[in-house]
Amino acid sequence: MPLSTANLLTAAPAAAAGFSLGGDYFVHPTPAGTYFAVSRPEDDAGRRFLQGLLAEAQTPALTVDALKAWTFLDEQPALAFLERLQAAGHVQGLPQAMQAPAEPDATLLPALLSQLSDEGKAVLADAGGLMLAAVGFKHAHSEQVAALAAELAALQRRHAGLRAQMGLASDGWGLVSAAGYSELSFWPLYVGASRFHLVVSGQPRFNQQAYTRLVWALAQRHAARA
Amino acid sequence: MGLCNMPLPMNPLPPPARPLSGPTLPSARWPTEAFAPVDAWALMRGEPLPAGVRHRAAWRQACADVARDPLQLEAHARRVLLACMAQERLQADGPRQASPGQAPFVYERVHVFDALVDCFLALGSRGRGFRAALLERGRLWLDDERHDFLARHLPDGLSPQDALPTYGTALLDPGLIGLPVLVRQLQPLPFDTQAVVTELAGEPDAAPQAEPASSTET
Repeated sequence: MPLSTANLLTAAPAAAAGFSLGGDYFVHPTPAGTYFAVSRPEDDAGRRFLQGLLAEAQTPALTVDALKAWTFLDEQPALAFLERLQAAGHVQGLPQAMQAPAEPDATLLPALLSQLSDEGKAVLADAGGLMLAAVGFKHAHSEQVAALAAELAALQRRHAGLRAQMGLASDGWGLVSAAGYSELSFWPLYVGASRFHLVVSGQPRFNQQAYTRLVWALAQRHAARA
Repeated sequence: MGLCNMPLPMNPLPPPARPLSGPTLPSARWPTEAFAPVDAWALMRGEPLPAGVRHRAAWRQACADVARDPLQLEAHARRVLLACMAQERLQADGPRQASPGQAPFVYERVHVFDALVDCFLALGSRGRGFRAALLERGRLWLDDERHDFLARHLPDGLSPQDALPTYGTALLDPGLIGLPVLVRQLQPLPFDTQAVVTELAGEPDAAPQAEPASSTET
């Protein structure tokens, strides 16, 4: 797993023997872990670990040796690190290995996007505002919201300091009703060195395996080329 | 003629430049449902939605209310009852013939079971009578397998770590496809777990609760 930049010894204090693996599993991010990994451009050990999992073409088997190699830590600090991700609900164990999505983009992306909106309407765009896939929207509208997403991303970058100063925890931008309900929301996806934009009509449904599969597919097909 | 005898003008305002109705009036609807939410208890009594309130808007508001505050019982009741109404309407109208690329009909994405799962997840073992009443109201729209699943979990509720056979529209379902426990703690940690979580994850608001030392295994 390409987790080459992390030396977590500086982040995790040495722990006494206190952790063990719960069984023979294949480790995979949860939807919450996927969101945590790609929703912000910050670079930290947790995000690097989760993005490393998504860079694999197959869910890797979880062993102590593999965990030590991924984290550059000794056994117990490495297990403690994984336990923190587990406690945050960011990782899960699969009984069998799972392959990254292999379907063509034209069929895979609309099917996944449809599940991420309560109305079944969503658009995926690249960093430049080029529409990569859409479902539920008219074609002209898809292209317009993709372009708008790129402009909002530029706006967000310019004012990133303000968000940090105000302590805002939100990651997306939205068009909201007077009651505060989202009509159209724009979500950045920082996958590896690439950036994408996810535009969702209605209420986002990111607590889906479809969200993890979408990011996994992007990490395999686009981030690897960056 | 003095001022007192001057007749008052019958129509002091100039006539409107264009009529206040007809095609020139903007078609935008005042979002009354945003300010006057549907009353779950009225729905419980079998009353229809108030005039001018669209089911779609009421459903969206109920979903947002549950997502924002999972312990808001009225929102759970409203959402389950609106899901039942959607199924009734879908049964009456039949499925819509969607063209390729068109978004699915909103009623086809509303599932009574998922709304009930959210209520069971939010309350855990609490509110058994409330959950039982909602389960009974939604019984008609549940297959036997899913009804039995929820009935089995009436005493203890549901946990996010349970395998949940949802349709993908439950708001509080973490969407797990595997097991949530990879690592087991055998002894208490000799350091401040919260500080480590904050430093490693870089996300203070996503930090987990440190487990008490008494809960460790031996």
